[in-house]
Amino acid sequence: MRKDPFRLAVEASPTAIVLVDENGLIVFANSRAEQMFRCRRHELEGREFETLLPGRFRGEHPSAFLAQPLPRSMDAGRDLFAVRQDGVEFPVEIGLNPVETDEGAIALVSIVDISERKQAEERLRLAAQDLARSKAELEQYAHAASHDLKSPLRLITSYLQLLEQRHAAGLGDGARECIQHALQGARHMGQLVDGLLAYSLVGAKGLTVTRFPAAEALARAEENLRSAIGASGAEVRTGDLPVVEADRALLIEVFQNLLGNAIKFCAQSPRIEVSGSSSGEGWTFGVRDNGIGIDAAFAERIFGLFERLHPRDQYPGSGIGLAICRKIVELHGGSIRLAAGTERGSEFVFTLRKDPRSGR
Amino acid sequence: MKLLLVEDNLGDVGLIREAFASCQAEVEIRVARDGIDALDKLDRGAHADRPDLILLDLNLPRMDGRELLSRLKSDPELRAIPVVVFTSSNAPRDVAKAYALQANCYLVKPPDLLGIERVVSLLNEFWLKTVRLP
Repeated sequence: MRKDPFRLAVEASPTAIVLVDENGLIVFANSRAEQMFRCRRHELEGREFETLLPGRFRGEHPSAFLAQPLPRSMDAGRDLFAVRQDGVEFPVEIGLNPVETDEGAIALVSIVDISERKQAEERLRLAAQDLARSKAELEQYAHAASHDLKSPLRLITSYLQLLEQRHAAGLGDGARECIQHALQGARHMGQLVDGLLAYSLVGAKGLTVTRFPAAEALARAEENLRSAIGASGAEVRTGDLPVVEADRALLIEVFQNLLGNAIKFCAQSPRIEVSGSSSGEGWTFGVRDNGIGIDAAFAERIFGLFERLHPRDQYPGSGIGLAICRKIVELHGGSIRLAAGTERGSEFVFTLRKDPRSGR
Repeated sequence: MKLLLVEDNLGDVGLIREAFASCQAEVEIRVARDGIDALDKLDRGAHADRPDLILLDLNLPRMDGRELLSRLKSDPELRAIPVVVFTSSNAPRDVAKAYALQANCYLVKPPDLLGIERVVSLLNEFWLKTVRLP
C-alpha cells in the first residue's frame, strides 16, 4: 500500500509536531515528539497538550488559540520550557498554526528544542563578560604598571639632577657625561612606559562610533600638531574626504601619528597630501609625503611595537605611533600598509570598515 | 606654616623637602608614612599643632591615600584642612575618585627635579602664601 507522503514528511521532520484538537487533546504526535518527550506515541496521543509544559506555563493551551486562529509563536519574547516524561525541563520554541480538517479546526503545534542554542548563547554571554572584565583589568593593570614603573624613574632622574647641581664643582667631565647618559636612559624609559600605556589603552573601552566628516578629524589632528607644522613649514593638502562612521578620537590619533611622522621624517619642507574615498565596504585614506622614505624591506616591521629605523638622536620618538595606528584601524576592521616608500617620500594607506564589528 | 606630608617613599620625601628648601618656603614639614600614621599624628596633636595643609600620596601601605582622604573629609574636626593629592598616578579614575572624596587639589608628580621644584614652588606660592587657610 502506498504511504501518505505528507504523513511521511511529518514523521521525518526534525521538529517535534503534534496536532491538538479544540479540547486541548493531542490527536497526533510525530516520532521526533516521542524522542523529545521521552515517551511513546500512544502515551502522547489522547493526553492534554498542557501536560507537556511545566505548571507555570499552563492555561494557554492551543485549543484557546483556535478561538483566534492566526499563526504565531507561543513564547512571545519570553523563555518557554517544555517538560519531558521524566520531569526534566528543557527550553523550547513553540509555533502554533491553525489547520482546518473535515473533523473541525485543529492546531498544528511545532516544538523545537533550543537547549543547544541557549547553551551557546550562555557561552557567548560569559565570553563577552570575560572580555569586558579583562579589558577593565588591562586598563587597571596598565595604569598601575605605569605608575609603579614611573615612580622609581622619577627618583633616578631627580637625584641624578640633584647630584649634578649640588656637586657640580667636584664632578669631572667624565662623571658629568655619565650622569647625562643615565638621565637620557631614564627619560627614554619614561617614554617607553608612556608609550606602552598609550598602546595598551587604545580602544580598551571599546569603540564609540559616530558619523562625521573625516576632514574634521584631519583638521583636529593638524590643530594638535600646530607647533610642529609651524616650525617645519609643512603644507598639508587635502582632497575631498568622505563622511565616515568611526571612533572620532581614534581617527584623529591615526591622522596625527601619520602627519607627525611625515613632518618628522623629512629633510626639506614637508609637503603632505591626504586623500580619501568611500566604497561599499568602507573607506580608504592615503597620506603621502615628500620625506626621507622607507625601504620596502621594512614595510611590515615599522608597524611593530617600539620599532625604529633611525637612531633616537637623529629622529626622536618612542617607535609606537605606527603600532597605535595599526591597532586603531584593526579595531575598525580595517588595515594599514606602506603603499610606497621611495627616497622621494612615503605613502601610507589605511582602510576602515563600515561596520567595524563585522571585521573583528 | 605646617605641612603634613603623607608619603611612604623616602626618596620622594627627600625631593619634596629639597624643593621646598630651594624656594625658601617657610614651612615646617612633618612626615607620615601611611594613612594610619597620618591619622595618629593628626589625632595626637593639640589643635594648635594641626597642619595647615596636607600633601597626600595615594598609593601607601596599610591605609592608602584614598581611604585616608575619605576619613579626613568625614571627620568634623579634620575636614577643614585642605588636602592636596600629590601622586604619580595620572589615571582619570584616580583623579575623579580623589575629587569625589573632596580632595582640594590633585597634582601629578612631575618626572624630574625641575618639574618637582616648579610644582612645589607653585604650591608654596598659592596654598601657603596666598590662600587664607582656616
